[in-house]
Amino acid sequence: MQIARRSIFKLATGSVVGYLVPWLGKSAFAQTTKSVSKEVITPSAATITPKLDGTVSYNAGWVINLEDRTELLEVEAKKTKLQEEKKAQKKPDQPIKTEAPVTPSAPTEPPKEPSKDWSTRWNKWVGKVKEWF
Amino acid sequence: MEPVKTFDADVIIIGTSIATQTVMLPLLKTNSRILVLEGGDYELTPFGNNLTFSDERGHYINHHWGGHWLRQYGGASRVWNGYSAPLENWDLIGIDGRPKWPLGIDEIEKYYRISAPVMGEDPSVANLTKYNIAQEFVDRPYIIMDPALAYADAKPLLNNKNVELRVKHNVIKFTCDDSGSFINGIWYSVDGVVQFASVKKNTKIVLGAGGLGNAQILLQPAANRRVAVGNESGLVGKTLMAHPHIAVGEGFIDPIVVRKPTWAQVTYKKWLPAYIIGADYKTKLKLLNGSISLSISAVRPLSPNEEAVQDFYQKKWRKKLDLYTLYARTEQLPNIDNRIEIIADKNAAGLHKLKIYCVFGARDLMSLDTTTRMLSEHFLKNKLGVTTVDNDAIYLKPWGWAHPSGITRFGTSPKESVCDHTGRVWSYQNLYVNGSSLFPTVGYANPTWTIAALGMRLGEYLVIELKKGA
Repeated sequence: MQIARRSIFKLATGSVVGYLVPWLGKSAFAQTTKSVSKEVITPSAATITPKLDGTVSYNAGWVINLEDRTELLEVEAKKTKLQEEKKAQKKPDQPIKTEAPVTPSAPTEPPKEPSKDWSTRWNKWVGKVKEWF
Repeated sequence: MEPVKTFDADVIIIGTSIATQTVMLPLLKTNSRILVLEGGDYELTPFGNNLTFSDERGHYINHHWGGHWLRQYGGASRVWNGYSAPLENWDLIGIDGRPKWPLGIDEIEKYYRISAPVMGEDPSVANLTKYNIAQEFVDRPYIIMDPALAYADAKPLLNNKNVELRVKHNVIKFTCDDSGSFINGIWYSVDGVVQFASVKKNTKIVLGAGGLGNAQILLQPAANRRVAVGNESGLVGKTLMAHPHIAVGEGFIDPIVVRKPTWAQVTYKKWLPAYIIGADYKTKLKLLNGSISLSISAVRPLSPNEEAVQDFYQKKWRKKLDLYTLYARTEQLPNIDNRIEIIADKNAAGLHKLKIYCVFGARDLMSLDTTTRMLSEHFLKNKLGVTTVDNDAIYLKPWGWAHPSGITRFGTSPKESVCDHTGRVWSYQNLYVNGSSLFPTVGYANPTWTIAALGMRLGEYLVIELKKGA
């Protein structure tokens, strides 16, 4: 029987690997057998003590007292409503624009200006308010 | 290349800004021969103006750095000189509570006192380096001086027999001897024509080419060595700092707060009122130094939200409240990522141009936020006003004012600084840096007066050194 050099090499390599695998397995790939350290990291008292801040930033970034927030929001709601009402009052009615072909042969009357009479404005505003309900 | 000539002088000073004007004052009292090299002409020329253009990246407005750096006689001092205030002890200490400057507040106060007349002020203003640190808020203005002084007049130098002034001489870089201990030559250009002059071993060289210009020269690559001459520490160009400027909020404030003059205003008239947090609070909260000033807001229609806040607190406190803007100017934390670098392209004078990176970090902005919030709470607690802290202005739209500092920092160790406590570059026996590039921390005040004080200090030191040599 003739033994080839390659066979000797294979045999040697195989035995070395066979020897090393369990050893490597234990050291390199196995999980550590060490238990978790019993040392517990305790944060300082200053870190864990709950801190209650007396001030708060509410909408728009205002720094205010926490106790003032509810009342402030109420005042703001009133102010907002007032401003909306003012806007509604100031806004004149826009005439509805319709695109019509320009016909020079048919002269049209100039558009009438919306009435600036106070009572008309008041009635229109009341009408609008009624529409909301 | 063989040297074509020698710059024969006891002291060679590069640049003509406030740093140079002050370093020369003690030297002019001696018989030292002084050569002054200025890159620009007596007035700003298109050639000189183009030299300072850089690629600017970060939170500073485009060409802001270049705009604070002028190649003309008098340097940036011609435009910006005067807007300044002294630093105080806290400015010399880092956020970690450790001293960062290689000199104490007493020493710098001495030079503030000496240099005050140069800045057109009474020496007593130097007393402002100390105040009651236990107070929550202190009136500590950002600016003390009007920009009334001009350094455009070259006559005092031209008429002095010991001084030789050469304008349009742009220094490019230095060469050193074989031992690497002495500067032995200067490459420079006149109207773009590059030339070389040797320098004697006992000649002291003072580099005062500006907060950016100093580092630009020390970063220029050397032909025969790996490291640029002057950047043996590897720290040149690092930790660029300036001042974030942010309108941090606005609010309704009792006009008494603003109208009542602060003690500093009463004494010195010119102070811009501002508030900073007392050093004790800053230490405890690890805050950067910052001042907040109050300015009356432009008249505009109020939103329902604003009207509500004004009405509510006016009724509650039974006092009138007006709308004011809170404007903050603060310190920037030294950060190694904020830096200047040289690029391949060269300017007309033959120097590699700069790329500038300067960005605010979390600490810079959060410190500003906390300081503003503390001031808001201070007003609220004392029924003085109610204000906003503008999140968008602080975090989304911050910008800064370029007072270039920190890129050739001085210190106590060659591992952490470019220069020693006098401003001498650690590697060389005859090369000194002068100007705001020395600042290890930038403080919150405009730097001109501190530049002048450090110039005076270096001048006095050089007089002693020259006497030793003689």
